Amino acid sequence: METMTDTLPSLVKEISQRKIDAYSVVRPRSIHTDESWARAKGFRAPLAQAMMSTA
Amino acid sequence: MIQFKKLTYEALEVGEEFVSDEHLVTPEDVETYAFAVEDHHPWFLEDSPFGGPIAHPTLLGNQALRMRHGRYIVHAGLHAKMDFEFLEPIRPGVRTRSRGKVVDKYERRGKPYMVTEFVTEDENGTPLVRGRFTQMLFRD
Repeated sequence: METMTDTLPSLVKEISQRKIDAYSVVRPRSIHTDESWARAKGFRAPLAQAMMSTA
Repeated sequence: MIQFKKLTYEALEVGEEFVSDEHLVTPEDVETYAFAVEDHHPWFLEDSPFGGPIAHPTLLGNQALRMRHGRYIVHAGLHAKMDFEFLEPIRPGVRTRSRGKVVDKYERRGKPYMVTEFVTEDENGTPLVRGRFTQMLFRD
């Protein structure tokens, strides 16, 4: 049975609020694009959408 | 006319079906996505082995995720799990629509979750992407 031993190089990306806004579309009451709403939901800052890491 | 209601674990029913609006995939969509995810591969912006540029295969993930917004007011949710099957390339100019069904809901460690299966099709009904995602719902 063939085994895969190659390791892909790591990929580093800089996540900015501008990129999150472009990905998620800016709207109020969003934990991704509305800072005050994100804080109201218990986060320190808006979150990047998890799917951004799949691309 | 749609009567929107707040998305809660209690309101959500397993077996419930969703459908998105139709979306025309534009070159600007692809460019914006490339900026957001820092992926400017020439297949997306110039030419590809499929003949002409194609979109990032995950481009339409948000169309599937937002299906529930067509019926519910969704104030927050956290992605817990995602499975994709990429069946056909997505080409700019195609009109797409996602359809989905809630296949499970459960509580774990006091947190409510919903599981949705979806398929995204072109205007001819050809499946482009199929998948399944699990999202945590927020309680007030």
